[in-house]
Amino acid sequence: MDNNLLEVRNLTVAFEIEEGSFKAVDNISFNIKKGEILGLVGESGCGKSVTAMSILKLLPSPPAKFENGEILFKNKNLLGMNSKELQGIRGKDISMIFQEPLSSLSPLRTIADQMIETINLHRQITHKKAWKIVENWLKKVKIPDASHKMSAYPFQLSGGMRQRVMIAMALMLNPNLIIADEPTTALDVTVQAQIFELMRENRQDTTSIFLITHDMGVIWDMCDRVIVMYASKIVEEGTLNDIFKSPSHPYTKGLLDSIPKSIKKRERLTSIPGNVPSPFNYPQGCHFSDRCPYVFERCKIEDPKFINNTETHKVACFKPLVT
Amino acid sequence: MNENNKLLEVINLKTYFPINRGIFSRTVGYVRAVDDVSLYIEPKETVGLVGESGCGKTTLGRTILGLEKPNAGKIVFDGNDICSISRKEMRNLRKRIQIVFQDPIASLNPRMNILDIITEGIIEFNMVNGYSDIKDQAIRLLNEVGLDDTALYRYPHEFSGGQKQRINIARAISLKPDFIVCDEPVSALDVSIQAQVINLLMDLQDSHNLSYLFISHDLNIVSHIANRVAVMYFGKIVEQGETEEIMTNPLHPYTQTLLDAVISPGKSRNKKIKLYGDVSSSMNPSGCVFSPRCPKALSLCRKEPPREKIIQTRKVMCHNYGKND
Repeated sequence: MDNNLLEVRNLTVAFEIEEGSFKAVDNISFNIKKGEILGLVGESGCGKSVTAMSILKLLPSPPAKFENGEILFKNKNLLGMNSKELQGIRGKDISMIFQEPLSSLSPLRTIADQMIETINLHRQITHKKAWKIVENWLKKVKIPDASHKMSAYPFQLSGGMRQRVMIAMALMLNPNLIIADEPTTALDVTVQAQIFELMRENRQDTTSIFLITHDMGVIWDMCDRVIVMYASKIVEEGTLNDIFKSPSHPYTKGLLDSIPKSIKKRERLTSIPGNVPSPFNYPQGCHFSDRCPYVFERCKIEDPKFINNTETHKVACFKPLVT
Repeated sequence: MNENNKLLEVINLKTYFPINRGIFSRTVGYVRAVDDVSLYIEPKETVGLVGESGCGKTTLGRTILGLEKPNAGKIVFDGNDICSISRKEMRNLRKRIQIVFQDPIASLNPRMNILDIITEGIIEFNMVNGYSDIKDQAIRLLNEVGLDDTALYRYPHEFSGGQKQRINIARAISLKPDFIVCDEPVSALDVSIQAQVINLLMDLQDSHNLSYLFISHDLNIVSHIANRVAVMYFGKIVEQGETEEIMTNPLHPYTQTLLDAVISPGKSRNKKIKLYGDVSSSMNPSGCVFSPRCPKALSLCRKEPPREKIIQTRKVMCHNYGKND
């Protein structure tokens, strides 16, 4: 209990739009421990970003509706807080790195301006001191010529540089938790490697990271524990070893198998048949049942509950794979 | 067929984009998107073209298709120089060269139904015999890419990303081409769907005897599908050779760092990286284009651009291998 920084309990988020209402996140629960890097992996539309945004209540409501559940941060329910209380937490205790750094920075203001604003919201210090902190952090994230780049506007920086600014901004107030939603998806592989190194180097040991991605490679490189999400539900949870060495849910196995193994040239790839279902017509019972190679009658009627393989490894499946 | 068995040969190709400044739009310089590139593709072969964003890989693909005008160099397709033939001849060649784009949504007209989209080409080239034949051919094409006739009268927005990409592929193969430029065909797709589309591309290659230029930034995918790989950096191809050799023993420092940066399950974790900066930090250097970022740069590298050297089956553009003569 004390070890958990953040606890998500039975969270259900629905969206009400013209075409009707659907659940983007359906009754999910998980914990983020102090100092760990937890990965959330899933395909587009599975609800991973909605989960991330819910933590800081960044979803516009309506259309979003928190139907059920609570998110406890240091034992306080974030969903019950008013916007003023949340302002005190955003940026300081929990910060966020978004996928597209260009659209998450203001195009009209300089880098220094935006970063100092974040500091001033949480700390009463002079402009000169704030300037020094910002300069220091830009140096830490290895922005060349940091003191000059401070007066630059976001469009004058490359994608990798902008993401470094975002990382500096997210780290500079020593938050307890950093939520990174696909932080490197828009970047080249070489830049991605740099960004991950910076994140690892500059966070404190007590800082937890919640890393959201569609890329199993990223999970492998960065995370301690993994949650696999499919069509609004968590299907498997475990340590890095649990997930990669003995994947238990057929979906997790399928995801891992569809990654091309470089040397086995031109062999057919194992793919998951079918398509990701639309949130308006998820299949009855297990959401993966219409694509699952091991499906049987019960899967199509009943929603599988979590079973524990080991203390760390949970799976929601009636016929978990044993490997 | 060409005597030396090359379906497509690109020789010293240059595509520059002018940079215009000032009120008279004077040309003050050029972006060398494709700078002296040579490359060949054999029948039924897949050549992977990899590189970071902005390195010119898409421009190279577009120039081969005739969508951009090259400033210098030759593109020889089955014995015809694409750059110098007449419009009429080019029109006929277009049948044989097709493209699959990265963005499956943007490349399908939202106001046309699937039947119209995939048969537009064959109608244009009079390859059909009346309406029932159009429909038969469309159904055959859809079946080949794993869709069925229920798709015929539906519109692009009714399909998922993977299905849209299948429709794009059906359109590309409708004219029975010999060569398809695949420009990041799976980058926009989900992981579980990527594998399906790659399998489809490999199957079609076997059944239709296709050659692919497979442009991608994903080294895992390229190394899976390609027979040979060309690595591009800042408009130049810095290394090319057999896929397996490049993946197991990269020679050029850029290829080495690129492979190093790839993360995939099973590889060593939390590595120290050696490469800083990005492509744009090497604007017009006087020597080797990679020298500002290169961990193995010699003093010579900053002064003189390296020439291509042939090392066994491989071509490498780097001063670290042999001396320039």
